[in-house]
Amino acid sequence: MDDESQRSKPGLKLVPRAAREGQSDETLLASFFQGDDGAFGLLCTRHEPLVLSLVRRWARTPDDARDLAQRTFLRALQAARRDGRERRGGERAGPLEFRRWLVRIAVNLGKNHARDEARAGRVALEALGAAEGREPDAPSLVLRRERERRVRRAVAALPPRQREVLTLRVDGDLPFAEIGAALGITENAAKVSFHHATRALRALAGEEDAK
Amino acid sequence: MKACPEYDVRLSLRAAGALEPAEAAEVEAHLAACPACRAEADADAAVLAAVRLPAPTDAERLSMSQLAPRTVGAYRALEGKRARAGGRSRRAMIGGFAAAAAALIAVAVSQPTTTTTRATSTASSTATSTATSTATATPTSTATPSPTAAPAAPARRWKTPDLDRLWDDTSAVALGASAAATAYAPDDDTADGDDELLATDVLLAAWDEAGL
Repeated sequence: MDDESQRSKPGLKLVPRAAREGQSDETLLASFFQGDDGAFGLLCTRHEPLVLSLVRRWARTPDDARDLAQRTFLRALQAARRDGRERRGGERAGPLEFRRWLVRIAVNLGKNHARDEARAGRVALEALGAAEGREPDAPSLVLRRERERRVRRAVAALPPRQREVLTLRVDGDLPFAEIGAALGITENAAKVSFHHATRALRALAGEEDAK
Repeated sequence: MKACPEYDVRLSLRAAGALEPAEAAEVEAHLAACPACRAEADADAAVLAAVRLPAPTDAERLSMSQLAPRTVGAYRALEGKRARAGGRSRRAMIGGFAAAAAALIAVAVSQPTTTTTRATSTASSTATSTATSTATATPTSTATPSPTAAPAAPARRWKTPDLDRLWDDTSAVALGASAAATAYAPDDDTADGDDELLATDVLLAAWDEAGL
């Protein structure tokens, strides 16, 4: 598909997909901005799992998750294009820039969704997975699901910073150093926020009572 | 029971799998000897397990397979719209400046005579036509100063902005077409003064003269 899309654009240099897979995000972005749609396909493949894992908590349906992921990528592309203009002739963006933008944007979209969900008084996506036709659950499973629902509701009710750190770690599996960089705080502050989030969740979800 | 305060944060990090190996070994050694911390560690692990979402389903994966082409389509569409809007905006800015300059010149020409009132109305009408973005270069040709006219003092020298940056620079003011004239001014061939003036000054002066 990439090769076909390149062929349709006269003047573009054909680069085998295998050779491009080793290219940096910055190189792929530059190719995309020059009209090579296939370069974005590779970028998307590279970062889609992270973006999906960060936005699906706030989605109610699979299409909802895809739309949130699309908005995340779209805004990151716009940020990269603006940044590219501003840096023209100056220093280049670091290799982690695009990923950092994706994380920040996904966090902000999640923040808006968490706010909207709280306003609407409902919980986002009780598990995209859980809603799909499963066998009827055994009573113990029902209880466990109920507890999971309670905890996930509590996640949306956490203070923003705690919620961001928690979801970046649990959903995105990001190192705390990267979480700190994405949120503009130190690695240590991110760890402490994570600890507070864990304790707050236990309190919010009734863990203390259950003990 | 409460966890030992010095291990509090590390127990949460352990539940998240975020301890360095040396740190993890130290915590494990402590847990082996401290039931209170063990209980805390178990509770942390349980709550984080409940936070985790189920793995993506086939429906989600299928939906995501369209992500790249959809995003590219949306991006290209946005860029096309932006380019069109930018072109319109630039034309409006050029037209807006031309109208403002014409108004100013008309006022400057009329001041030594007794036709101030009429000139003012001309200025008003040109300013109005600016707002509708229809006045491109027309007002300039209808209000060309006579060779004997006093030089239009503020219209001396213009800064020509980088056209590539123009949209970003003016996006905040370009929403109102009349305000667009504050950001752009073409080169003035008749410029001979040393002072550099911003188009904003010219427009404000024109408005003042027109009594707006």
